[in-house]
Amino acid sequence: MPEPLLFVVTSRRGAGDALSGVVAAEFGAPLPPPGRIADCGEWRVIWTGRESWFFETAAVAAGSARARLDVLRPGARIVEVGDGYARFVMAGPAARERLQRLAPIDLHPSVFPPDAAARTVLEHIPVLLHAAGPDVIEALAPRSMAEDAARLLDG
Amino acid sequence: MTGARLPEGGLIDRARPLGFTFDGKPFAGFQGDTLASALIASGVRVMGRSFKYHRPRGALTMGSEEPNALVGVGEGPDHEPNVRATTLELREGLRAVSQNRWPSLRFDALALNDLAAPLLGAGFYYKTFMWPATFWERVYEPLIRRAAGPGALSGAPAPGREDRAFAHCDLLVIGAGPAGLAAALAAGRAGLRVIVADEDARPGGRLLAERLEVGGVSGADWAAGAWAELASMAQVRLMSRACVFGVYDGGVYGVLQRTPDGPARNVYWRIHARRAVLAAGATERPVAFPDNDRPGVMLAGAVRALLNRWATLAGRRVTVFAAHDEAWRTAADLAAAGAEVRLVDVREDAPGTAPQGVELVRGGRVTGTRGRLGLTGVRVRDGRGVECWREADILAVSGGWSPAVHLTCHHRGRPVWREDVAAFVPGPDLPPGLSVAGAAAGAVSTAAALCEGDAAGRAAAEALGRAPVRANLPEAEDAPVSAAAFWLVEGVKGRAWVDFQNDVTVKDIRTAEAEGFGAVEHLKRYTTMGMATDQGRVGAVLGLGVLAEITGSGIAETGTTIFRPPYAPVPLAAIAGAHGFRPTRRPPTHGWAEKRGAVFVEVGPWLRAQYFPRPGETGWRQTVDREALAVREAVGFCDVSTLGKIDVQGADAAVFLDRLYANPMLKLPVGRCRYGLMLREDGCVMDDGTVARLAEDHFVVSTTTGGAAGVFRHMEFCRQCLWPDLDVSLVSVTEAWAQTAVAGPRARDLLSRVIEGLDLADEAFPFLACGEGRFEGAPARLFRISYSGELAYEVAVRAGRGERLAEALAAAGADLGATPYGTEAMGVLRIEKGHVAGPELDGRTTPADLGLAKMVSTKKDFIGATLLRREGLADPARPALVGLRPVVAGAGVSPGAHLFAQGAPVDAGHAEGRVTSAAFSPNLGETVALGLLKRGPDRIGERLRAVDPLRGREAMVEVVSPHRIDPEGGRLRA
Repeated sequence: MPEPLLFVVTSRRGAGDALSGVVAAEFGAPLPPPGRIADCGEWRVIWTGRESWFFETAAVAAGSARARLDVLRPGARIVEVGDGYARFVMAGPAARERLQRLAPIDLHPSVFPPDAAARTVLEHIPVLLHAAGPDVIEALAPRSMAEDAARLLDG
Repeated sequence: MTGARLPEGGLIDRARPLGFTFDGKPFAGFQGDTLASALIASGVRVMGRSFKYHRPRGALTMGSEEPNALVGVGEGPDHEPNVRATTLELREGLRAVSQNRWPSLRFDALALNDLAAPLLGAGFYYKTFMWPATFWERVYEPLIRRAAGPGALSGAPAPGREDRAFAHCDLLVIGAGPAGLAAALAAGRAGLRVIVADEDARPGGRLLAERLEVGGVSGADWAAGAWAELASMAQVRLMSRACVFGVYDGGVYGVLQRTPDGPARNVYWRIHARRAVLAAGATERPVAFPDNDRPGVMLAGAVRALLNRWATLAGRRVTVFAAHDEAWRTAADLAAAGAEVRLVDVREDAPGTAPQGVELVRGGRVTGTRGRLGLTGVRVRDGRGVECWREADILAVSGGWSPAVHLTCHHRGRPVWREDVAAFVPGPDLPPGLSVAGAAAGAVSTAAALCEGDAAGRAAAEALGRAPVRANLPEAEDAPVSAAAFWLVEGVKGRAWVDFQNDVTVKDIRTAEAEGFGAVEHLKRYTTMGMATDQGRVGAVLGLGVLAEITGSGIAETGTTIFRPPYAPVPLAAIAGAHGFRPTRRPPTHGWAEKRGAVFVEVGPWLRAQYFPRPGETGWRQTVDREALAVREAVGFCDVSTLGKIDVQGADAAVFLDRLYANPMLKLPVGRCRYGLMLREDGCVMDDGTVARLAEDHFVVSTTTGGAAGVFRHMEFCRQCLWPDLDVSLVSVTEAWAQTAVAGPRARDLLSRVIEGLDLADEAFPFLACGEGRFEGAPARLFRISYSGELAYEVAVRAGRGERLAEALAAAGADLGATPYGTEAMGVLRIEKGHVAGPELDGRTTPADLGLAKMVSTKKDFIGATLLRREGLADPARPALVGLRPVVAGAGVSPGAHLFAQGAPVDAGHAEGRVTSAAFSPNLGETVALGLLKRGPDRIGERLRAVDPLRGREAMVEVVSPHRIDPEGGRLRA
């Protein structure tokens, strides 16, 4: 399987709706609203901020992934950032409990359901948390802090 | 021996005896005991010495409000001082020691202080120990500090057995007495996510201390049943041994949970709650009468708790001194247990008849006590004014109950006086989302507590959109209670204590009032009343009552001081967590540098390679000299990935950057870089870096390492708030790219072996060019910029390839002398070249101060442009950047040294500037330094003294140009 790839896609000012239409047509689901994830088959789209999303894929080779995202131009800007992040996958109810102790945000399934995403801080480490399944939470942490993030999440 | 264990009853487990020691002496108790209950059951009464006068003291209470019985527990780094014996759960092998005594608890040399009491009254440190003035800091204060105060920390680093955590809920219930449990049940049954936090190890609150029934079973059994029902609800979390100590903004509550069986000693919780119910109960008040602090004088409720919960008869001959109906229960329970009981009630018209076996004195007063190391006698004045001494080993006192209003005041709410219950109850200004139920709200019966708790739980459910479930409340006692507001026994001589922990007496309050410190907040500070670790939970309201009595202005008008967090003491170690976990950032080539034997240095959160020693090198200077020379003579490379990198795209990207930087950016051609100077709104330099234009609408800007986060935040603020009309996107790509500086006369030769797809000839890729090539088939961005002053490039590859690039540069450049260098050599090179960095960009310097005035555009507006024109910032006398060299060959100059004209006095008023950066230059063979000097650029050639009083060094320096190497810039354009 190819390495997971990660791109920041930002929309041209005021062109979010148009971009969402293109994404819906090309990827199968519109851009997700704040705090949410859109599942687009081979791709996962995560809201990360104002007019800003992560496009993530582990199923597409790098070259074709970049080519695929090119269809979003010129309404979108695309910045490849995969090397900047370390990915942690935490599964099982104990994992959610462990993560909840560290996270200032509420990770209860009623508040943070399987399509939720949020940027937060775990003991000074900035992370993007997203629920990838009923009992799976993934964290993207800065590459430079990967070693300490692993130590922290391992408890 | 006085206290004794009863053969049956109580909530202790007699099948599990526990051995422990107190001051080295062995004792025994049972599972379910606290240290205090086990000691009292063993006949021990003296548990500590008081703060100021070193008076012998025993437990006054049986709860977390305890002012007297503070002990030390554990040894070495694990030693914990000031643990309240009344909440310390007994465990096998516990070793506790008393505090604030020498040589022993029974014979304390500093008990002499008690004789000197007239010298140590209210505000004594403002009056005595004043002369001679120099003695305060050197003699008096250290002496007083040693003589006073509770236990001491071990001085060793904390063992790190602390944890902290977040939790979230719909409803936080504070306290698991009848009100709290009823609230939690109502909310839990309605489906709310509930957290119940209770201080005690066992749920039930006051029910555990009484013989009252709830729903036909004992209060303790009802509480256990309620607790079990709550435990069965998936959305309810029960926290015992958890004290809610503060209410903060946004519904955040600070909670300290003791976890004796867990891996950590404490867990510091930050609980986010949408609603909260305060059901923390009430605290009993003492009464002020002479010698009311002897071991054996206890609060009536505590004596009752000892009897009913811990099956311990505190004494055989008991006087109960009451202003409140509830204390009658103490008399009744003790008499039923076989004690000889006399009940002295201050009220002539106290309702009811004497409990069976109790001698009742109506309208009586306790006017004195005796017994040096424990109570032996009590003097009582009856309603007719006749006084007599009677033997007693326990005096159980109740001046009434004060609702635990503290948490309701953490957002500056003020309690209000309620005459019918003779107590301060929560005022109308509660923290948002918090409601109060039960005794904390002034309810006096169990039935009222259950009812109020239930209503609060249901109200929370309704407010959060859940249908409340109606359930029948259990039957419970609902007797009316009458109470008198009684503070002070008048007309007798002798010291009467008000704040036991800080040794504040009625006389101190009189003194403070007489000396003009009679307002409550003044009184508190003048006498230190309520300022000890117990936060005045026992004594503060009594003190206010006494003050009201003295001034005659009434308790309601007198009011209370403000209560602030924490409600109970919190160890700082618990707030810090396990050694204050702090992440370290490692640049992409960290592993490679480690293999090369690099020495690392902390730069903010980053760990950077400082230098790369080679075998045979004897000191860091030798290594750094070699690295710096290699850059000037051959080629070196250095990981500069820690610099912030921000991707800026959009139709208005150029306009955006043009407004952001002081120098022009609008017409920067595609494929070119430019140094960028960013100012704050006030005209001072905020950060510097480079701006590279990759395409018409695509830039990458760099920031300093330390400024990266701040600059990104600033740019986002500008984008979102100042100029939301501009079409621009910002993405931080600091972490995504590994950036390496390649510098030196052979830099081009080295890079052309490693980078493909770019013509690096000077004509094709001149100074300040940028472009994209390939490194091993993957994208590589190249910027021809120079920090060292040499022919130099920065190469950026994807972060995952950073180490591979370093390996490739080392291998491909072996014959060229390619040398990895660290931050130390980088510093030497930039000082030689006169480039400014952190020490010069200290937030107080302007572009002109740094010799960069020519860069500032006069043809456009930008952030900082207006305030930069202020007179003060344009003053030519401002310190400005110069180079400095030692006059005497081989002399050093220290950064931080101040600059003085020859002959001028060395003091702050005559300093003309300072040395900001200095290093030994292997290229020039002498120390090179940069400094900021008044009118500096006009003073080239002048000689000054550089004085460093901190390190005791001084050097004569000559003012020179800051650009010591290649001032014309020929090398970087080579």
